[in-house]
Amino acid sequence: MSMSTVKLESSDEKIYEVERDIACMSVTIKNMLEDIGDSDAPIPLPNVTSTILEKVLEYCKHHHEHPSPQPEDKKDEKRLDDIPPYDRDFCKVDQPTLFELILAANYLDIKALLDVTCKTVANMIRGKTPEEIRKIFNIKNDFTPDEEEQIRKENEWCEDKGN
Amino acid sequence: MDYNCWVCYDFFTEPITLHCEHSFCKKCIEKSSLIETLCPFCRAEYQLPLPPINKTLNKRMLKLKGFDVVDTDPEDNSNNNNNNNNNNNNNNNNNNNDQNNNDQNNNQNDIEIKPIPMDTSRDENIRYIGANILGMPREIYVLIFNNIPVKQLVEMQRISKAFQKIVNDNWVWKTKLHQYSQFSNPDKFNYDYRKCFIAYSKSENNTNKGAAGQFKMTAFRGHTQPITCFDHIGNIMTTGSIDNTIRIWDMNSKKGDSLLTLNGHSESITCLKQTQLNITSGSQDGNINVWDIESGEVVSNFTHPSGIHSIAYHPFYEGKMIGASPDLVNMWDVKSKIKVQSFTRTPGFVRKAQFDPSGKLMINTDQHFDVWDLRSPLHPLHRFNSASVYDVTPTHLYTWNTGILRKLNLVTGASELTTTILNVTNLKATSNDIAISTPQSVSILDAKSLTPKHSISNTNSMAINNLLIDDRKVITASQDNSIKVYDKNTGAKLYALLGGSNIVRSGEPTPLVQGCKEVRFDRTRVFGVFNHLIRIYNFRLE
Repeated sequence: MSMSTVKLESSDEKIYEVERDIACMSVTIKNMLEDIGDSDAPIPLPNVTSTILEKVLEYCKHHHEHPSPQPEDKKDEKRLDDIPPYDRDFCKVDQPTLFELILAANYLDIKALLDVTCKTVANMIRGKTPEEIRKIFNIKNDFTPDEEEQIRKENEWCEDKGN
Repeated sequence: MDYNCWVCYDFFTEPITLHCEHSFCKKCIEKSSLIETLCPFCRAEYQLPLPPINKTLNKRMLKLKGFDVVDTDPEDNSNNNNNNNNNNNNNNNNNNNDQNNNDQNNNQNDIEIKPIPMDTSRDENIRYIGANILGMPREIYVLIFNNIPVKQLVEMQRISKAFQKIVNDNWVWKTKLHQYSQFSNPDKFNYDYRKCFIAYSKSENNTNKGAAGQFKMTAFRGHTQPITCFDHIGNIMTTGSIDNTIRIWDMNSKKGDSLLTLNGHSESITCLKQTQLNITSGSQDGNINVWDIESGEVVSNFTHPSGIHSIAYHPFYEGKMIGASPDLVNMWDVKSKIKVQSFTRTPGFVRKAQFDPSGKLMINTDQHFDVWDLRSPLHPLHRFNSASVYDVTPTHLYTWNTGILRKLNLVTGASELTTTILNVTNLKATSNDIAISTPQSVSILDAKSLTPKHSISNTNSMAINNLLIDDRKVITASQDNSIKVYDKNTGAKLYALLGGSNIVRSGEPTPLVQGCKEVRFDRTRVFGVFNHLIRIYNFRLE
């Protein structure tokens, strides 16, 4: 059995055999592999369902094959339009999937995926009014008019910010 | 509760719980099942295939072993509720397939990525099904909201109660605060970072607007002779003076007394650099001392044959420091105390040596302005005309000499633009604007075209000693003993900070220059050097 592949087991007990290098894009898996040493046993990923794990592996595989030579040092966190085309398309999924991808990327510690998914959510939010955000995420306004007024008052401190 | 497998006596690894409720490692019970299908503990008979891994127990085990596992107990953490429902749903859906898949998976070594159709049965109208924005862990919100401006973040409180809770999370505001201000005082707000941010934001607004009564001035007295240089990090400030001493001050001190006085130089201090742990000082006596900021002891000493007039630390290479005398520029490694390089080939008298933001060494002499790439120490990378005043941005160098303002490209070395302006006394550049002062006026030029954008109305014709520019304002230190703040975008005067009268009282030293010699600011404070004292105008009034 060659050691260039590892087995990953999703929460619903599906086993995926993937190249070791691809799996190691997840820091969590990399650490686990270092801890257990050479072993054929599948690595249990009790927080990731097979549907999501497949997406994650697809992402890792693409980026393993197409490494993007971006210098990490001069990255401006506030830029939201710098999502590469593949990643942008990758994030065009329904909301539950997107948020599950975030959870998976967080748990598996895949920084690039976490960055791009969080930026996608930020893009959904940025520049929108509260009403628009409610619509996007299907959230019901549970404030009474009085409570809303109270919040508005509390927020006066930032009214002249960024003028 | 016992966490040991009855077969291997070790902690469970992927535990399987039999119907008799006894648990074993998956591997152990698989081995055991090859011999007999009886529970190794109570000898109860069971049927193959084995049940799936006990997820609850497995998670508990992973947690025990130190893995970071998201809790799936609904009552544990309200934030995670929603995911769990989803996980459980998925699990239920997939359980039916488990038996079939198990056998297949065990035989397959190929990469198996089977597309499973997304669960389309989700009813869009039922809220909180599936992972959604309200059910993320805190660190995720921090990442998402990092990209959202504060003003909108505050607006977002109005979305719903649950959202308000998320937006007002302490972690979110902690990160926001650190984005804007490295140094803050959350202890004063009981570590409520949102309150701390609000207070910070108010004082920043005051700094930008400067209405009366919105700042507090403290004068820091102690030096017996004029102050020549100063530096600060956070609330600690260092000053150097012609009286041969360096003083360290706590800027929060109400009285304005110094914390420490560093004696050791035998002539006046000319330049200072403060870091978190050390203070580096250059003196007319030819010594560069590195002092421990807490004890005030000299940690390292470097000597030049003549007086030091400038020191600078490399922006990336820790501990690489240059010191410059009129006839010599040396680079040292402060840690090993070894001289790395000497720049003796520089013709003419050195006026100043410093690093540009990318780490190139810039030496301005009375004959040339040389830019050195430290990797090729034989010849300067670029040689420009000497500059009377200059400033550097990440990409360009702006110099002024004998009536000509030049825009020089630091990468190519090309002179991109020149324009004629007489008598420039100060020059400061940002990527978009250049502020210059002449004895009669202050003006803001467009950095691209070097054409004037605004001329700042200099109501009193007193000359400017020093000027600064940031993304919003221009600050001038004037000979009339005042600091004036102007709006960078309109040129309008925002406010003036007065520094008392110009009359030198008995017992006070003769000033080097009249009025406010030098000015410096951070987001909530303005510092001015007035002869032998420093005044701090603090807009942070909590």
